[in-house]
Amino acid sequence: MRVVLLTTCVAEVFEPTVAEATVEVLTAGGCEVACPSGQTCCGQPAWNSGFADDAARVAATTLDALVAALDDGAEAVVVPAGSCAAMVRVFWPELFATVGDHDRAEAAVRVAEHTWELTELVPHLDLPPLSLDEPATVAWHHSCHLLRELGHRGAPDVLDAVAGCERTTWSADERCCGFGGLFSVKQPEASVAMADDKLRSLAAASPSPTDLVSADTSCLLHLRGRLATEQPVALAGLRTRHVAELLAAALPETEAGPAS
Amino acid sequence: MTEDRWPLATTTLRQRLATATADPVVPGRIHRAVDRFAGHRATGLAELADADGLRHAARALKASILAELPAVLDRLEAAATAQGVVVHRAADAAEAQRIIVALTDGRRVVKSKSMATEEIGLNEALEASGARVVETDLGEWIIQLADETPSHIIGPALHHDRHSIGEVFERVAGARGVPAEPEALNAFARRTLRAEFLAAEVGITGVNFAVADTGSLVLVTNEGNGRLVTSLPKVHIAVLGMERVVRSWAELDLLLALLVRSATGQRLSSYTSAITGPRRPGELDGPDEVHLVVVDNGRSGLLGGDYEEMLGCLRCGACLNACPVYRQTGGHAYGWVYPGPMGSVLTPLLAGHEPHAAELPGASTLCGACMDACPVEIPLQDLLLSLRRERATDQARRTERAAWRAWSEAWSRPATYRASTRAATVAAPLGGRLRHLPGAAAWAEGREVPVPAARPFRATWARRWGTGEVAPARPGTSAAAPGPRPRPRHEPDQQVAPDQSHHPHPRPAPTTAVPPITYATVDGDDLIGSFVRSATEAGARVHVVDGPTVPDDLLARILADHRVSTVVASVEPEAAAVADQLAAARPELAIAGLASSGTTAAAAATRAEREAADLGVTSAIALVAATGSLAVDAAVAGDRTTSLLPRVHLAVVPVDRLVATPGEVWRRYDADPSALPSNLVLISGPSRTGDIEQLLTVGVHGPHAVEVVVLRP
Repeated sequence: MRVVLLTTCVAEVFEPTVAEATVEVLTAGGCEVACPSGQTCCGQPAWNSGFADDAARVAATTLDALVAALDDGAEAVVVPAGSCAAMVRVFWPELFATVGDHDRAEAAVRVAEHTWELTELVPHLDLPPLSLDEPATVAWHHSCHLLRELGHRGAPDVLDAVAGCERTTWSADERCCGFGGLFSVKQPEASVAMADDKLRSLAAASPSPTDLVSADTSCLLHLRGRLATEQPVALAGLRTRHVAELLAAALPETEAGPAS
Repeated sequence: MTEDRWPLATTTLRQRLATATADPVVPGRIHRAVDRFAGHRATGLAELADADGLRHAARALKASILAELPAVLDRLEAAATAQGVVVHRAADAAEAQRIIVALTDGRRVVKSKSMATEEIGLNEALEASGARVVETDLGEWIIQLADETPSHIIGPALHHDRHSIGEVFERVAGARGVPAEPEALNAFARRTLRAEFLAAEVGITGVNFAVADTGSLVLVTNEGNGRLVTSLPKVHIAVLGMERVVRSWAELDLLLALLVRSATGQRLSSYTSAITGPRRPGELDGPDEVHLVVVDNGRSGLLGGDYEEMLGCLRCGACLNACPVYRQTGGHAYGWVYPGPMGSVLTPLLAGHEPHAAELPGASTLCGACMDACPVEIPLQDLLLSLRRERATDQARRTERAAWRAWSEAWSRPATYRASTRAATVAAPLGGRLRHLPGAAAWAEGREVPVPAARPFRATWARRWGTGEVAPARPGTSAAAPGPRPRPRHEPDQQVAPDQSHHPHPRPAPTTAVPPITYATVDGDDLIGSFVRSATEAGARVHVVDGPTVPDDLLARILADHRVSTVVASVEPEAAAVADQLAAARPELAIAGLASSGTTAAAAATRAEREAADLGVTSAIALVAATGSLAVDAAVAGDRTTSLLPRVHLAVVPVDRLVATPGEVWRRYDADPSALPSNLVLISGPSRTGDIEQLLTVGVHGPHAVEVVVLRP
């Protein structure tokens, strides 16, 4: 099948390896991946701050690019981020209706019905056997939009097919990490307190995790940033990775191609 | 608003959040409290079949009530007036204060917990008029003594621990040598407040639900103070937020079940009181006057608008317990009466004139946990976002507005978007205009700042997959397209109201249908066993005996266990029979208040006798298997306090009064409203509180022990 990739602005600015790994996984899994250059951002930062017109202006550009890709034969929109996938799938129709762009509101419904966050789509892929060279004990962080807006509890189940990957449990795994977009800089004290709460719970996880993995880069940047400043002893050496990066690392050498 | 009481007027959200998260002890107490509440909620709701379906039905039911709220209130007023209640309508807080101050007329007041009375600033107004006001809910009394504001809707004092409570009792309430342990602190509260109940002339409460069809007021309490406040003083003033109404007893059944399980996880609180008018001729206790003050204070302005659904709030506190921000701060950080997610929406709506009210919707990461917890599915996240949109045009945010404009100009065009995401230039077009935002400085205070990528994704793509816009699939694979799927909450079987097709959390069409509730605690083949289990779990002791009377040895055992030397009995035949039995077998006991048998004094017990008694004996008009409850009807029993003032309550009830669910009791009054007494109470275990560290202590203001004898003839 042909899919169209929404790279996400967070990945483009800070972690393009997440987008790269997503393409590796999708192509290895039997997808032809279109990545239209007409896309920019889903508009969520402005939408969450209450600036609907600005959000719609930006989202319209990305919507139009995705519609063109669907018209061109793509059968699914794939998003390596729960928050962006939720923005497209849950909030775009309301966004465009709110600013009075009813044509795009209808188009948004069509795009929403074809949109998949990466781990939602993985079970439909034809992947080769996955195996990590370096075994990992993974603590999964359930990002809020993926868990509660998209209702996708089974995101970490994609790790079950990866040899060398075991999972650990921790009590705060479903709790918000405190990023919340601009909340992280408008209410930094509360944001950091929430990160510390998560990390305290993570430090008590048994077995001890080697990796903190999530479907959302923004959560990982926030927690990684806090770990770099204030790291519990029990989490020394903890690696934080996006699930796409872990899956890509588990692909056989020939599929993934040489690392950049 | 009294500025010195509520910090909303004089502090910013960030100041309050920063102060709260930096407190060395309070966040830990909040963590413990909300974890307990959330755990209880999960357990409680798990006992209801399809709890999510019930929540969805409740949202649709609330929609239909709110659609005709003014008419429902008119019906409530007419029905309540017919029952002898004096109904007052207060447009705003000032008018509510005037009405209640006039009714109180400087007399002594005891109060049961009511967020609505906090909202209207009632205590300050009453005290200014010369009335002495004493809060009687343990948590509210603690914060009244400490001159603080509530930290949580259900547990106002959960920012305290036993030591800080002990310190308050010593410093302000005259406690001497009271150990700082929950039992002892509790006992001190019981002793001290008992005198207040007995001396008060006016009782003021809130209302959890008003039932419009019969003009009844329903109070959900645990400690017994609500019952005392509405039974002992001559005057009862009930303060009702105008949206807290249902039409029928069937509707009450659903919302009550969702409220209690969402708030504390209980099947029912220790006392669910249904008040219909003042004391009736011949009744031994109860107020001579009942006044219902219906408060608007900004609520009616929400009807028919974008925020109407906020009027569905049951004040259960579940959203507070789920909120990851509240978890780190507690309620004081929200600055006003209502904390947490519901407060972040309600405060700007009701107190929008306060300069810092508009900030409150920013106290959220939009994680959605609150919506998952809400028993009536209020779309809190959507309401928060809508409030944020309203503020976007404020003069105070013009710098931010300009920054977003610059951002959207750049990011709506692929070429300028790509230019701005390149490492060296990421800050330039945005950073200058975004200077007003704390931005990188605020991030960097506690976190390492992430470094923008050196090489853009486009370059990597070109190198690995060519300059076309398509990367090929691995040869030899076949992945079938999964096909489109409906958006979440827009599934084909979901009944969505017509104009809701674009909404993230669409509102169902309004309905008057009340779904039946199925309880895991009810085994239809063994109702007696179900009752025994649930009543025992509620803290009562249950004895099922064959025969028409309580065996002498069982009575003797109960008396010995509780060291009973004085007994009062209601006028019910089963209770009178017990009194007769005891009078004959145990002449040394002081027994009062029998009517039927004639072997002892025929006059009913005086209040003083009931207050002094160790044991109060009543029957019940129903036993409820699902919740382990007994229903005491004041008209049938002859009084309200035999089951309330003594330390121990013994209920003797024939098994043919056993029903499966609370609904079977409530719905009797839809069928036959005239059967409603002035006071009906569903008693589910002894009096209790969790206000001290959420540790359960029993016997606060009501009995500490409940013995139930079920007679199987």
